[in-house]
Amino acid sequence: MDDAAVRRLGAWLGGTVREVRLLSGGAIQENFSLVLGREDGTEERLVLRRDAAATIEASRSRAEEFSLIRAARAAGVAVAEPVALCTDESVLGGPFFVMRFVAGVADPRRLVREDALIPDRAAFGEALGAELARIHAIRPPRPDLGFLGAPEADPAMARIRAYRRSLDALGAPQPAIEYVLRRLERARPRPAAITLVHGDYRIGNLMVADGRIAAVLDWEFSGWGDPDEDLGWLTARCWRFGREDREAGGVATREDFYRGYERESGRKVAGERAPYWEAMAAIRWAIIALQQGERYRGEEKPGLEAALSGRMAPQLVQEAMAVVREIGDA
Amino acid sequence: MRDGPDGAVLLAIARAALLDEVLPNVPAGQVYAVRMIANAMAIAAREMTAEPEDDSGRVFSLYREAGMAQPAGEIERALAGDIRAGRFDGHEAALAALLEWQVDRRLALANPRLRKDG
Repeated sequence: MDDAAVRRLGAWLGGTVREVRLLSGGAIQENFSLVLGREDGTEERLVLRRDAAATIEASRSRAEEFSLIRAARAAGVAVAEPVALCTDESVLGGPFFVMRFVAGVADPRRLVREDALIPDRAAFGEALGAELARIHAIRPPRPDLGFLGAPEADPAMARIRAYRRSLDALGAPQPAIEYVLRRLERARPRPAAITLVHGDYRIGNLMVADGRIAAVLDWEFSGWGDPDEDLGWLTARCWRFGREDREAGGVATREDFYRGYERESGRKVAGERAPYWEAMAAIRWAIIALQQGERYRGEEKPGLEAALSGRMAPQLVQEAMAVVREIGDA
Repeated sequence: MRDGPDGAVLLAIARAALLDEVLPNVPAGQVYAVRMIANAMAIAAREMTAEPEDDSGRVFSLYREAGMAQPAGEIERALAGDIRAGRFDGHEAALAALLEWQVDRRLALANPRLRKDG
């Protein structure tokens, strides 16, 4: 962000912007931390979120993400307080929104390893469940979330179709991934009542402070769907960051996570459905890894992490094939 | 002909130098990057020395076992398409065995530590 852009941003926010710093952003969005000085001498720390150059998977626009965060906050979900949305491209060249800064640690490797960050892992596991249950309390119809479209009658099949489209776009045949998707197609569960699904609820997308969830981040993949998908994404082996014994995201037990979810939602978790959505999670991650592995083609200076991503696909496919064996046909 | 050591050996020596001599002196913030570089070098070296894999015999016997006509054209593409279309639905055990073997071959190059019998 150059000086002129920073000045325009300050004027738009009604103050002077200082200390603009690129936070460790995702591949799809860029996050900046900034300090806004106001004329009355007060200061405020904010986070600005805008699109990065590369887009991997169709994701929500900034305006949509802003509405989702507002809806989540109203539902009692821990999120950063949304401050303002700017769709005027003359300010920064593209839409962005600003929210209040939330302090904490999001780095999954630290949260998995350092007990000092999560002193009470049982309580944290329950909080993980309760927070997700509050997200799932947001249900259609919601005129303020009209951009989410009508819910799919069969969310699992919608996912399978989308992943097949992604495979076709990648081009190289992937028989093992096709096998898992075919098994998932045949074993489709009767959908749970449709709710808002966060779409990327895992360690790494949660800001943690004082051993608690300070904010749920990254709403760019949210939509109407089967809430069990979010449960399976969090408990999938591929999101445990090496702590496979802690089945809830590498930070807590599955039992604590489910207990917190059930208490808050009043809905019993159908544990027998977990392998279904955990296999779906591994396949989704495998396809994203393959997509990231292809990014080098268009890039002048390809990043190594993305370039290595494609080589992660076999382990994810192996995981999905092992899990999918536990599922019988519907 | 090139002078020795060959490319894969050179990569292995360079990787050892990176891990043994450079990594201990790298600031904490860059350890992850160095490890990624070392991993990329190891994968490249394995892929350079791997024998080309031809699994067409295994695929053909799977089709025979399933009582299906042999695939024409690009074999992997035909297999992927037939799986998606459900043509192997009654033959999952044989299919899964072949696919597990294929995934294992890829893991042998990408991340041999994660192989089931590795």
